[in-house]
Amino acid sequence: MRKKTILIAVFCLLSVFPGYSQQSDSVPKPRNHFSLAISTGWSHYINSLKTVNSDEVNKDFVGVNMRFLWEPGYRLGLGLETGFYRIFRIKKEFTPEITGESNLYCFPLLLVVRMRVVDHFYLSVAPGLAVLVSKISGIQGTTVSTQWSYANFEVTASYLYPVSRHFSFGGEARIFLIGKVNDFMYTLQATCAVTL
Amino acid sequence: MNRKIFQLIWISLVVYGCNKYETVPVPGFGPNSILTQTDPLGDTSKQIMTGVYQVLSGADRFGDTVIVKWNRDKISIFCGNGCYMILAAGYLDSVIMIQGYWRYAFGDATGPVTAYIGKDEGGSDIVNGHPDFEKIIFRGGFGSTSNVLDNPLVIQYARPINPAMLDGSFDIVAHRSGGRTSDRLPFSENSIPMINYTGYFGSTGIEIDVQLTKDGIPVLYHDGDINIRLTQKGALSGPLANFTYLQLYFFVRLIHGERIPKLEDALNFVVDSTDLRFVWLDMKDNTSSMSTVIPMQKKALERAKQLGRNLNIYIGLPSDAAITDFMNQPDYLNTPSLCELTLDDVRMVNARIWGPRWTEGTQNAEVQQMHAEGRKAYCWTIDNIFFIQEFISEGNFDGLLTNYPYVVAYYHYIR
Repeated sequence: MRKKTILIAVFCLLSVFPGYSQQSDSVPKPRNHFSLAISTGWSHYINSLKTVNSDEVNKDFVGVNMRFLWEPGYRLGLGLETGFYRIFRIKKEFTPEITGESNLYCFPLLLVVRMRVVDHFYLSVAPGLAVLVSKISGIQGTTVSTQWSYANFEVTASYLYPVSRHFSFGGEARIFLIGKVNDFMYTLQATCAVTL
Repeated sequence: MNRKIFQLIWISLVVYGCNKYETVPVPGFGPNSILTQTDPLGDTSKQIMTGVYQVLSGADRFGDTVIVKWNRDKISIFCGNGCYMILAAGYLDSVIMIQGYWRYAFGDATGPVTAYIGKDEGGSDIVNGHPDFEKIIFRGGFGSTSNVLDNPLVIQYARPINPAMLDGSFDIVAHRSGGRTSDRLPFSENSIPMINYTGYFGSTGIEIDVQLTKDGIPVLYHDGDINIRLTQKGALSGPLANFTYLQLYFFVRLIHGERIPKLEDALNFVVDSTDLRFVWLDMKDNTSSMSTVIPMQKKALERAKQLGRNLNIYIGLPSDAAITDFMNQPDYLNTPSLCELTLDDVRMVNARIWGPRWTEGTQNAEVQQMHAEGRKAYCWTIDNIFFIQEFISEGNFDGLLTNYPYVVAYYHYIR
């Protein structure tokens, strides 16, 4: 009887330990929420213009960008992005009497696919459309011309650190191809994201 | 290691495969050319040299026969396989020296050409203007790379060109004034330098694209917007019609650096500086440019007449909208036009020329109808060697619009 009791006790003890060895599920539960990120900062146009000298081209400006993402879970984010960038400004003296200025602006409209690579670090790609606005002044008044650019592509690396349950701050580096004019631009921006 | 090499190759293919429209360089000889020591040939000498020649060496590249024809100050040699040569010539002590380049129209193969016509092989007869020559033989070489003449070239006069082929009854019309930007020619399409050069391609006429700027000035330009296909990447982009002429003049350069020309300047150049006898104005802006362009057409025609030039300029009517706009103009029935639509449309606007698409075939019966009514027929835009040959030998068109006038020239003059 005593042996039987000891055996049962040992059996029970051994049964308890495996129970304690199971940890909670490591797969994160799907979050399924939305987020909105606003970024602003430096943009730089990679000058490949052939009809103007490099010292006639202003390539550095401040751009702004907004992303609305659906994060269904795990590492994935899908969404839309828009923004405003001045691509370049050119001021050229053609004759002593005539100085012309040309500005090119871009409003991208992109579909974003974002993946969390490691904690707080994201990579995203975004193909889409853009509206290009060309503004000429100094020669026969001011002319504004708008056109669509259909084949645009952006790659972004982001770092977002959550400071509270809803807010994250960080930065983004992106490179953007504007298909219509075959031009590249890159940006370094500070980002504020809010989980909705 | 293999993976890295593969990635490098793949990246290289992507980068270099995306190169577009790199110009094929025209081989040149610079200030050391032997032609600097020669004298120019007279018109009689040029006529003697013109003819059909047999290729004795170099047939692998140029075919068995070629056409040799002078245009102003240069010799053009047209081959049946898409090759052509543009050469300058002069004489020194009864020897005719010839230098220039050859090019394959459908690719980027090109190279230098140097040849001579010896004193006893026709040089003396040509220089002295003797039409009863015994023989004319070009001897020389051509290269496959710049300035290296590593292949022999010998061509011998076989027979004259049929005079009926030289009477001006058939037009070789160069598309976009000489060819497209994508053909990688030395000049941009729809430019004055191209108009100046197109005669060397064998063109007797040109088709040019006309549209209005924002301030209503007709210019030559094909696409609807300023883009990197036709222009150097610059400060301006967007629809051409959104910009004034001066804005385009200062900000835009065509691919080879030319400015977008005004129609008026282009027509004046055709009248004053070329031998072209046919101009087709392809009206890109169909709804509002007729009232501006037609007076320019009439002014250029009047000027050509005063100068004794044999020149015809036609308003192209490619669409119903263009026809409507055309018929709203005063005296349209007496305005020379070329209608691309149906035979009834041709009659409705009293077009002098019917211009069907080449894909509709030779349409000999329809062409015959047009001829019976005193009209002409030109088809467009025909580029395939086989079809060019077929349309010339079996068709009855009065002209062909093509991106390869040198090919059309061969099959026309060889008849």
